[in-house]
Amino acid sequence: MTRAEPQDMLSAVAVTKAFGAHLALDNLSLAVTKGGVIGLIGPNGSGKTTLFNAITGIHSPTSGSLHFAGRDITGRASERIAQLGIARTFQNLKVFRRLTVFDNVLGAQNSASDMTMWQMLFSVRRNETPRRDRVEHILERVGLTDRRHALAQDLPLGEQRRLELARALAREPELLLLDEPAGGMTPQETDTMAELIHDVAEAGPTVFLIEHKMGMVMRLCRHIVVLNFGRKIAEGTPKQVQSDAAVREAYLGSVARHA
Amino acid sequence: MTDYGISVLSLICMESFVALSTYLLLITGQVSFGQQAYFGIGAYVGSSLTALAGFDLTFAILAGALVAGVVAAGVGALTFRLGGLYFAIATLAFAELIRLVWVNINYQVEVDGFMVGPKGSEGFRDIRYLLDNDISSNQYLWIIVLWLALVIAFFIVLERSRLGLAIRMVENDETAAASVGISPTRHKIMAAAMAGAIAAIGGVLFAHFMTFIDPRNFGVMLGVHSLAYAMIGGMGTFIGPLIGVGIDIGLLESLRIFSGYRMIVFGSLVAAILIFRPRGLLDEKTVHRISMRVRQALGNNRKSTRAVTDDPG
Repeated sequence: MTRAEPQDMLSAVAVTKAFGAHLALDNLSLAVTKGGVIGLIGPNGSGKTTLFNAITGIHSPTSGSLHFAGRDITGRASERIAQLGIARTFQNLKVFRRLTVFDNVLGAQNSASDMTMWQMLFSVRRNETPRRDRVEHILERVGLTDRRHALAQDLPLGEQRRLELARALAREPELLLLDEPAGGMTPQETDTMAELIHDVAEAGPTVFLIEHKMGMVMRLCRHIVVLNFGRKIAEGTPKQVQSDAAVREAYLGSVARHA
Repeated sequence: MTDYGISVLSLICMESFVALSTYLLLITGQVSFGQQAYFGIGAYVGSSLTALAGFDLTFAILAGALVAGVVAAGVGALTFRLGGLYFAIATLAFAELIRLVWVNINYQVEVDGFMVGPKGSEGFRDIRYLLDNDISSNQYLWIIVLWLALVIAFFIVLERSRLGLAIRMVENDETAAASVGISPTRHKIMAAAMAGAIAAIGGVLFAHFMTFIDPRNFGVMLGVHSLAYAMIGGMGTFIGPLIGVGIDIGLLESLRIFSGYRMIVFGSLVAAILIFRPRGLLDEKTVHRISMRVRQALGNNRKSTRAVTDDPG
């Protein structure tokens, strides 16, 4: 059995998550080392999002433990885990719909969680020029500058995905979990998103990426973990994973047959 | 101003405290039918302090707000896990429980030869603070307006602050708010405490305006109405619930155009608005559109003076 190694940014040790009799994660152990983009792939229902939810404290694991930067984060509250430096996006978009694009990003900034409520009450949004400049900078990176005063609910899907990325970037995280950031996007939008993720990973956080678009995954990731039925069936470089017989059988094989 | 006008305005203002209290919970994502409980706590605690213990009205208001805030925080801590309908039912049950406390509380002391104090379902009579201190109803209206202005100032600060933003993030999506480090629990309990305190300020003022209160003043209709005010007026800004109060008491009740049919008209109005504008007249979209207009107008102004002010916004 693997143990939590100190040099790992994130590690899961024998994590099991049961929903009734169904094991969404089955004694899963894996490690994410610092730097670059790490892929998490597998057929639908293989437990990828469940793993993200376990890491970010939305569902605590039934057994096993999760470690981030040397800390045990198993079963901690979501907001505590976020404050430690993990940010994420959601597959089923969770933007703050009735807030503007700008406020979506502003409200996510790191500083907000370090302030007491009194400080927050007397920190009037308009007067925080450096913070507002950082928001503008992030919006420019994801290409939403022109949309900054729109309500999030009025954005098309592709822009909502980019807004989720912007919101996560505002956290200045060490680890960034992206859950199908190109889901439902056109090929052009997907390319733009892939470039953006590449740039983001260059600039700082380690990116842990769930994605079904294999071209994008193979191009971006230095390391890929493959799940099936909540278990890890393979991991390695894109090349190793592509040539793995178990992966072909369980995942790429079935995709090829259905395509 | 006529006595009737003064009394209608006073009622509008006092009802506004409960409406704003309910609104604060609504924008944190919590539907409460029970804010009348804190209105009642304010009324009973405040009146006891002035009528039985001879304290000053300002002190009574602050103390009433503090007691109600602490109770509300406690109730909030017990109920924050309950979502939607379950939370709403819990608030309703708690408010009824508090009302039964008023029905059962019996405690009088002798003040100047009279027995004064809450007397169960007969209520709490002889809250003579205004008479004893020679405060006319006109002057008292100004005291009420002053306190309402303070509460409104609080909302103005809140809605422009990070705290207000965080509250609305929790209302929009709790999971997403937690994912960016904002604790839904802490913000809900804090909003509950503040909402309790705000309702209690109104309660203290109400008790002294009426000079006697009884448990029926704090029944469920008050809570239902204050919820309706926020839903009519809209959830985009604190002005929404104030408009709601204005429409109901200011137009329907005071003008007596629908005398006898007021509740029918009011009920239909609420139903119509829920169908056509589910988040009220001044909903987030409308408020956003208005603020964009204002920003545009200001922006044009600013451009022409940019060389002078060099404003980065």
